[in-house]
Amino acid sequence: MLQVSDISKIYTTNNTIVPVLRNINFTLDKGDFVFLTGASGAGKTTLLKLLILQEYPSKGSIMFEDVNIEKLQKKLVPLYRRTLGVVFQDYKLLENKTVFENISFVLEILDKKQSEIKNTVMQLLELVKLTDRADLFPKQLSGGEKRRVVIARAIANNPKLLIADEPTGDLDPDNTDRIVEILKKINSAGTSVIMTTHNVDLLDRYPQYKRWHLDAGELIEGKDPKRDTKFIDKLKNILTPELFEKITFIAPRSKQDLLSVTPLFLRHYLKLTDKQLSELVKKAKDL
Amino acid sequence: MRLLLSTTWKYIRRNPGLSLATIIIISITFSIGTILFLLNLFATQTVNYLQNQPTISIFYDQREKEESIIAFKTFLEGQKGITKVTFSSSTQIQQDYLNSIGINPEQQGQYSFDDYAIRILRLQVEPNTDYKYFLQLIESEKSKGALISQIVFIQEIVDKIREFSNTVRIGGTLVTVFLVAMSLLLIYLTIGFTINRFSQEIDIMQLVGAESKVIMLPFTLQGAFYGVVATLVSYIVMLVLWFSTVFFLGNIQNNTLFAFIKNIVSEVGLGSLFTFSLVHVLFGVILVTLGLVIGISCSYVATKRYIKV
Repeated sequence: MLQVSDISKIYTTNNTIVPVLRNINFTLDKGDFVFLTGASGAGKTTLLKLLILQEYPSKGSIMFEDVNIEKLQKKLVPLYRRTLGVVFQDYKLLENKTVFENISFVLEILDKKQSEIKNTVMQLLELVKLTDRADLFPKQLSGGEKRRVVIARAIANNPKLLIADEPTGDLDPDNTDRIVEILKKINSAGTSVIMTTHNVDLLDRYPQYKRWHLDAGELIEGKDPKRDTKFIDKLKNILTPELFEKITFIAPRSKQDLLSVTPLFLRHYLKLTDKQLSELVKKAKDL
Repeated sequence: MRLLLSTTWKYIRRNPGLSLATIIIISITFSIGTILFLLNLFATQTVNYLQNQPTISIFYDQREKEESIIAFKTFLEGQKGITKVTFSSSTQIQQDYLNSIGINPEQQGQYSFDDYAIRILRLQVEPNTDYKYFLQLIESEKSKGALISQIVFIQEIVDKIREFSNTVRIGGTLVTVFLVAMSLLLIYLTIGFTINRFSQEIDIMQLVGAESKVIMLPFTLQGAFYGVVATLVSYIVMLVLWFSTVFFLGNIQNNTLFAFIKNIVSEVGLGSLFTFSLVHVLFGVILVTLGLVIGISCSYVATKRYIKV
């Protein structure tokens, strides 16, 4: 369902290049449940942002049901996003709306009928066990309850993939279990789930689910061992040291991977001069 | 559509102070702009009117024989650069004067004039013709013994009005441009402020896959609302003030000044302003359309600037 190939993400601030993700590869099938772990700053949130197209990868591709989504036309992005559900780390609940309205709001802007909205919201509230809280405002809810509202909102449009960014981060063990149980229920209905977490106990309690770990921008599990890991060494031999140093930020895995990086990106983010750019293209083609 | 309208109304309702300020300032802008436009129109019409009026009037003493006046009239008609020469007898002059100050024909018999035998010869000179040559002709006729009591020429008045018209046009344009720019800026900032205030809602809308038109249209409609309401307010207030003034001044007994002004305004072709007509409706439609265009375009620019889709 979701195929991520060699994606890297680099930020440039004040002429300093900060690589956040390096050559991430994974495949997520329909019905998969994945725990994504990693220290703070390891790139978990960035990876999720790439998946929901809040950010675009510096290189690599993201295929969702055979569609290359990072190349999707802007007008088609909303259609793609409708296939996803997102549980935000910071809730993003509208304080002036009740629990019911926070969930129905999503369905309203997707132009669903009023009768359908009412039925769906009631079903979702039942699923997350918040029927009696429907008329309360977010500030009247506990952290666990707020999180459940966010989950209900995220699955309101029946997404194919649910992305949950630290949904148990600030919760006690009871609430954590309650949230994971809800996510399990959603997953058992066919929705794939990617959940980021710091909670190691949680991983031990659910060993049946996949685990991916991000370490300094690299995905430890889910790596494809068949890839050409020697490519960067080849580059080291043919490029000037200055150019090679810049290229290491994107750490290309193959010739095709390197040539997929746009000249605009190389110029703008990696600060390659025209001379360096032509040198790189020429030498990469000869490889 | 229901969602669009309810969202638009929510954005307006949640910023009551700013919305009101925007509407008031745009209303003031349009009111001042309209007043300047009407002043300019009046001045331009007056200049056009006066240019088609006799530019030199020769007033004759009551002792002058009518045959001599007619003979001089014929002489002038033969001159190059003269469009028309008209002779007004004293009876005609009295009637014209009484009409101009709004005295009914049946009441005119009650009035008498000291210089009852005054007569006027009026010369209309072609545009851009030097009227001084004709003044010399008249002076020469006078030196030959013609009993001319006064010579009045209105070219200077026309020049003064033209000068006034130009000042109003340039000043009015500058003031209007400044005020319109302020209105545009105000709508732009108000929309920007609203977008900032609802940024979290917009974020959520984008992330759940709302189409950009669903996100942006309410803000465009908000701008359109400000433009339309402000111009409507401006139009209604000006219309009410204008007709109240006309009604009030028209009902004051023996108000010769108002009758005179009304007569001048009517003479220059703007008489339809005194009674509600299609002109007023048309003017309202133009004003509201202008407000709509300004509101929509400005909010569209603000939306494009502040919402990253």
